[in-house]
Formats: sequence, C-alpha cells, structure tokens
Amino acid sequence: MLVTGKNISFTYDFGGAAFALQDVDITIAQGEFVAILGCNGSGKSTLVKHFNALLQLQQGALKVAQIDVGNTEEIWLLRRLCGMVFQNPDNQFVSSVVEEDIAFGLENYEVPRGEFPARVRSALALVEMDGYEKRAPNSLSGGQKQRVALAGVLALEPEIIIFDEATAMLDPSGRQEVVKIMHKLHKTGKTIIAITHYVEETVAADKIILMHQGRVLACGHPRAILTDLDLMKKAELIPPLPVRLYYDLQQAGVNLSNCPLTNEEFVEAICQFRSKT
Amino acid sequence: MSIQIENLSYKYGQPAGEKVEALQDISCAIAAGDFVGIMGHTGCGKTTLIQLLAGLRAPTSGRIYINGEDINAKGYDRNRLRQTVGVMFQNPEYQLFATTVEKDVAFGLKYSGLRGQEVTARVRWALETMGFDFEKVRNQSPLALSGGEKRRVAIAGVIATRPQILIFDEPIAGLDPYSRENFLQFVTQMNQAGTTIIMVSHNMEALAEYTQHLLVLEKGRLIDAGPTREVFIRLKQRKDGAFGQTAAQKIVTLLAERELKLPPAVVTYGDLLAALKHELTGGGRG
Repeated sequence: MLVTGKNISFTYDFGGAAFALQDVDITIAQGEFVAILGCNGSGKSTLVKHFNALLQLQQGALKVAQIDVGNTEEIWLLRRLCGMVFQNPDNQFVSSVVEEDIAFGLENYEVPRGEFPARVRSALALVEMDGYEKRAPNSLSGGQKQRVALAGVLALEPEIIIFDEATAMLDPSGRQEVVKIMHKLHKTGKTIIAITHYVEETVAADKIILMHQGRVLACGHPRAILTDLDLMKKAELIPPLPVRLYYDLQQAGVNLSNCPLTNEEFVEAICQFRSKT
Repeated sequence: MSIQIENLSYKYGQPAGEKVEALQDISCAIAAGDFVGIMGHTGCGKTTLIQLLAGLRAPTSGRIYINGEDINAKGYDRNRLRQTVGVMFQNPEYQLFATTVEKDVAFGLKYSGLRGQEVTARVRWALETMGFDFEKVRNQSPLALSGGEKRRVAIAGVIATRPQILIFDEPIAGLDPYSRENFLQFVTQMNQAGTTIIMVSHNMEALAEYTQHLLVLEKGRLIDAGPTREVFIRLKQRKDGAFGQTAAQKIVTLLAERELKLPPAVVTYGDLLAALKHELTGGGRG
C-alpha cells in the first residue's frame, strides 16, 4: 500500500471539541485513481494535507510511500514524492515566466542546474504545453495555468499527485483539459488523488472515498457509491445526472435495465428500452 | 435599479506601451429586478465588465447608466454607487481578515448608519441566510473555517449591506452541491424581493436553471444576449461547440446521434426529464 492511515483525528480548534477528522482509516494502492468526495467542511482537504505533512498528524498513524509522515527528517522527500495542485490557478505562481516557475521546485531541491531545461521541457510535454517555456503565466487560460502548476509538481518526479479541487475555478473547457491530463498521468502509473465537487469527474476513478463530518462514510467503486441514493443523501451530495434521470424515470414507470453512471451508458440504456417496447 | 450600457470599451495598458482591448463596444440593458447571467471563457472580459459596473474602473470609451445616471459623469456621487451596487469577487474567502466571523460580516456596515443591536441583528440575518448557526459561529475565527464556509461568510458580508444590485463573480465555484443549491435559491429569493442580480459563472446548470437573461462574452465582445433558454439553444447550434452546453443538452445531442430526437428547447434537467417521459411512456409515439 502506498498510503496507509489508521485512526487519524485532527482538530483546528484546540480548546474546543470540533474535530475536522475523526478516526479516519485509509488505504490507497500504488497506481490507484482515488476520488475523494464530500460536502464543504467534510474533511477532504484536511485529510490530504496530511499526506505531504502540510498538516501535522495529531492522532493516529499515517505512512505515505513507506515514510512515516511524523518523521520530520524525511519531510522534504515526502513532499517531493507527494505533489499537490490547488484550487486557484492564480496564486500558485512565483515567477512571471513559465519555465522559471516550473524550475522553482527544482531549485529548492538543489537539482543540478544543468538538468533544469530537460526537466522543464519534459514536464511541459506531460501536460501538453510544449513550447510555452517563455510565456507569462498571466497570459494563459485557467486550464493552462493549472497545467503549468501541475508541470511544476511533475518536474520533481512525484509518485502521488493530489488535485485539491484543481478544476473548481475553471471553465468547462479548462476542466476538461485538466481531467484529461489526470487520466493520462494515471495511465503512466502515477497514483492520483482527486478532490472535486463535480461528481461526473469521479465516475472513472478506481475508488471513491466518501467523507462526511470528518469521517469516512463509505469507500468503494464509483458505481456502488454514486448510485446509492440514500448514501449520497447522507453525504449531502447530489448523484450524477444519469443516476438522477434513472430514478426519476423509474418513478414515472420507465424502468431502464440498470442504473447508468455516464451519459453514454444512459443513452445506451434508453436505446435498449426503446427497442424492447 | 436598471442598468444601461452604451458602446462600452476598456483597454488595459501594457508595460511595453501597447494596449490590450479587454472589452470592445458593448451595449446592452439590464432591467430593474432582472437576474442576469454572464458566460464566457477565462479572459473574455467578464471580470473587467463587473469592475466597470461597480465603478472600480473608468471605461476607455462608452457609458454606464444606473437608474438613468452616468456613473462616470463628473459630480456623480460615488458613495451612492457603493451603497447601490454590492460586488462579490472571485475567492472572497481570501478577503476575510477580522478576528471573529461576526466582526468580519459587520465590517461593511460601519458606514451604513446602523448601530449596536441593529448591526447585530443584520449580521445575524446575513449569517443565518447563508446557513450558519449564528450563536455557534459568531466568535469563531474566520480562518479556522473550511473553504466553503469561508465563502459563505464572505457572501454574508456582502449581503449585510442589502445593496439593490448584487454582482457575483463565480460565486459557486468550489461549493458543494447542497451549498450551491442553497446559495442559488437564496439569490433567487433576493431577486424576487426586488434585487437586481448579475452572476458570472462557468456552471452551465446554474445559469440555465436560475437566470432570466444571459450575456455571452467572447474575447471582449458581446456575441449573444437574450432570454436564457433562447441563448442556450442558439449556442448549441454553433458549429465550433466553443461554448458550454448544459448536461441535459449534451444528452440530447447523444440521443440524436442514436435517432431519438428531442425538442431543441430542452435545456434544463426538468426539460429533459419531461421530454423523456413524454417520449418513453407513449406520449411521443403514434
């Protein structure tokens, strides 16, 4: 297992009894695409910020890539192995030139300067932005900015990439760009952890971790989680559109053969229904 | 409060001396009590337009009239504009600064003329409207809240002054579905009570379900404007598919490829469900 957590609890409110995380157990395998779903305040960001020790473990045990996250001597290695892309594309830049921005992490890790150009080039190629080295980040679209932020992470050759609502601020085409790259990186063997409020972005994940009020409410295959109306309601989430259509049509007496998760599956189910009647 | 925009242009000066035209010759009218959505890709000029409407920038050319008065005319009372137009920019959560949630929301009321208990009552109203338990949250540090909660505190700070025109720049990005629905329903209530609403969003469902009119910007130009449903139908017909369709419209497109033609007016979830019921329970055949 690449990530193994046991009984993780965390509070921002020392004095008080408000826990942001409570007794969370978690396992993530190497190469898995994990989506973390949950309403605002459910503990998603708090949980993932433990993975690279942005937050210090208060209770429980957590190992990421064989490193005990409480071990301060290995914190730099941990942060290199476990990269993170945040929500707002505009406040992740430290330089006014794309290549310098991507190289910033390399400088911090004292990577030999001679390696910079090749590392920057290959990181930009991975996010499909070859040739953008000399551009100013503020001249890019939202999706492009997020891809540059991701390239900065990729230049450090991480094992795990965490997307903390990295698509939330983007327009539909920008979202599509970022989601496409996530899946491409997954195919190359990277472990992907994606936090999102767009349920349709989670249907292709290997596993969904459903959080609510600081606890893991359920963990399993997207089909099992997203088609369970009671569970989704408990988590204060709305199922994907095809799932809602399936149940609403059922109430009107239209029984599709099985509950679809994607638009394509829904259309297929409708066609099957029509050919039968 | 009606808004009239005439031949509005705005150019940003660049360090090298050249000018970038962020808005080009925009003309449109927003009636008092309307709920208007603004759609467009990143960099199309949406935020510049909002800044001009709020009087934070002066146009390069053209005019903006609010209730018939040119807001950039000499002698126009800027204070009145600030009280009339409330704006919530992107990522308002980064704008929180006070030591408690209550103080943060109350800050904008400093110059409102309200005092003591009136301020507390207004802050309570604003926070409860945004779904908070006032007593529980009033003394908390805003910085200890989650991202979505911070957002709601920031919105409470904007609505606390009860402006007649409310402008929201991407208000629901990063909110979970329930918070999203709550926010949109709350905005609808404000709208029904007479507040003019202008909302910039990338969320096609929110624009389709809640706004009455839509403005579409592309590279600084107003390329479409009209009743929301009509605009969505027109955008779907564009060959380049450059603009977002609603999830319902995407399913209509997929169904059409499989020889199931639903009416072109299907834009929202409700439209799609009704059209499918009609088609599949016998109404659409024979």
